[in-house]
Amino acid sequence: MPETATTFEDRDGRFARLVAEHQATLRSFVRMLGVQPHWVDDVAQEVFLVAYRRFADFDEDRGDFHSWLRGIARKQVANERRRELRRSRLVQHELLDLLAEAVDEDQGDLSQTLAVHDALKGCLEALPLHSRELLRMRYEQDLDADSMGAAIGREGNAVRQSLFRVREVLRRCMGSKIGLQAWP
Amino acid sequence: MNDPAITPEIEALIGSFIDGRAEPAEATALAALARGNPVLRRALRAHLLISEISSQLLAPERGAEPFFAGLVQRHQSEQDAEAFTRRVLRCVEVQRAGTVRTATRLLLEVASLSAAALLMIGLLSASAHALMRIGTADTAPTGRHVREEVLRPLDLAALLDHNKDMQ
Repeated sequence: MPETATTFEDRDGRFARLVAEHQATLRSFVRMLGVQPHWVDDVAQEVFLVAYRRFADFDEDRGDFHSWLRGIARKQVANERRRELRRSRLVQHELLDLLAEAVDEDQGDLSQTLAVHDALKGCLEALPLHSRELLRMRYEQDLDADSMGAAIGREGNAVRQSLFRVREVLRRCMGSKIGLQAWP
Repeated sequence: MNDPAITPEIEALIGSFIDGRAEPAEATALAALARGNPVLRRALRAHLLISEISSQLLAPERGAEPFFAGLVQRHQSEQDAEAFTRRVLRCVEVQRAGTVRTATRLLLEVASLSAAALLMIGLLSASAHALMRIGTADTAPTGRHVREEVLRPLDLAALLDHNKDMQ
C-alpha cells in the first residue's frame, strides 16, 4: 500500500516519541564505545538520522528500538574508526578495542540503562558542595582539568585525580542504589 | 576507599582518557594495564558512563532540547540537500532533453539540405549526360551548335528533332 501523508505523519510522530525516549541512553552508549566527549551528540544525531531513513525497515514486533539503535551506533563508530585508521599512522586503538569488547558483552537492557541514569541524578544531588562545584566547573562551564587547575591554583593532574575521586563516590552511590550487578 | 589496583597514576591516565586528552602513548599504556585487569576495565567503563551522564545533566548545551534542536536542524539540512539535488537533477534532465531536441532539429535541417543538394547534383548530372550523348551522336558539331546546345541544355525535344534533321 502506498504511504499517504497521514502515514508519514504517524511515522514521524512515532519516531519523535522514540527519539525523546532513547536520546539520553543512546548518547551514553555512544560514549561507552569510546567516542570523544565533544563528538558524542554529533554521532548520536547521525545514528538517529540513519534510523529515521531506515525506519520503514524497523519491525517493532521482531526487535526493540533500543537494541536496533545500538546496532546502528556500533556500525557508525566502526565506520568512523576505519576512516580514522586510514588517516592515522599511529596505533592508539587498543582502548577502543577493549571498550567495544565490553559493549558486545553488554546485553543493553533499556530499563537497566534508564535506572543507571536516574540513580546518577539522585547521587549528584547528594554530593557535598565542593564536589558538585568541581563537576559544575568541568561540565557546566566545560573547563578541562588544566583550566580548572589554573582557576583554583592546582596542578591539572591533581584536578584529574579529584574528579576521579568524585566519580568514584558517585559510582559507589549508584552501586548502592541499583546494585552492583546492574552497574555497568 | 579506592580500589588498591588503581594507583594515582592510573587515576590520572583515566582522567586524561575521559577528557579526550590522552596522548597515544598514554592510551596504549592504559589499554595494556586494563587488558590484564578486570577491576580497571570496570572502573574505566563506569567513569566513562558517569562522565557522560553528568555532562548531559549539567552542561546546558547537552540537555535534551539542544539535542533535539540539533537533530531537527540536521534532518532539515538533509531534506534541503535532497530537494536541492532533485532540483539540480531535474534541471540537468531538462537541459539534456533540450540538447537532444536541438540536435534532432539540426540533423533534420542538414538532411533536408543534403537532399536538396543531391537533387540538384542529380539534375545537373543528368543534363550533362544528355548533352554528352547528343555531342557523341553529332560527330562534327559546329561551334554555333555547341554554344546553342549549352545555352539550352534542357530543351531535349528540340535537340532530338535537330539530330533527326542532321541524319
